[in-house]
Amino acid sequence: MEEAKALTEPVLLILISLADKPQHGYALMKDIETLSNGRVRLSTGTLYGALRRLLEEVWIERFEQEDTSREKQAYRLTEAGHRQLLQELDRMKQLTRAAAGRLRMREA
Amino acid sequence: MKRIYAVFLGLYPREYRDLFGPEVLNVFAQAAEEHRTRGWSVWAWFIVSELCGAVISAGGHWIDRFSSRSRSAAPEAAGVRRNGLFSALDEAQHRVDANLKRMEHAIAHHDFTAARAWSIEDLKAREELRRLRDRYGFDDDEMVLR
Repeated sequence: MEEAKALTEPVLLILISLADKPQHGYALMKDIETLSNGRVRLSTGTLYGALRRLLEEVWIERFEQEDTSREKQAYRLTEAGHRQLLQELDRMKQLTRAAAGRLRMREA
Repeated sequence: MKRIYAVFLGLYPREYRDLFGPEVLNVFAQAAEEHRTRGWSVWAWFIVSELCGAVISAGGHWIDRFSSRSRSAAPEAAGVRRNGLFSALDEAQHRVDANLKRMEHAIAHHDFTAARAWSIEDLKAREELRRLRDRYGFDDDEMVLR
């Protein structure tokens, strides 16, 4: 049983961004801005810092797309990364339910 | 601007630069180009935040690097302790074996005085081996006294 770790916002956004398809660095940066309604814009340094940690955890993997150069590597979610994302979503759902319950009790 | 960012990239550990360098520069150049079209103030803010981000991120990489070194050093230290333990146990076991051989040799040559002396040494060596085994939590099955 893997220990559930609370993910930082950049890491969570990267995992969500890679959930449906592989992306390269710049596309990830843009997608994260869109996903967060413009609230989060990762600097290049922050983005690649998070990518490096995700690669070390083997939650994502780097691969060369056929039509791209070394300067444009693509990233995709691994099985472990997919599991981690699902765990985090479960944790957030549980928190949301708990918070909604407390608010209902207060209003009642 | 790409050249200035490349200078900031020099703040990162070498392995990071080798792995991500060209890619990071490419992403930065694309983002800079896109922000330039949004106006001077947006572009200036982008550059400032990128350069600050690069410095902070480089610091984070160095901290990670040193902390992972200290983490990886810890098992080595444990290994030394473990090796130390095994060498102490080996030594104790070797003394038991050697005393037993000497005792057998003395008995075979009817030297019962020497056999008695080696028997006392054998008891001491076995006691030492038991003490080490108990101290480091070895079961009887894991270390057989011969």
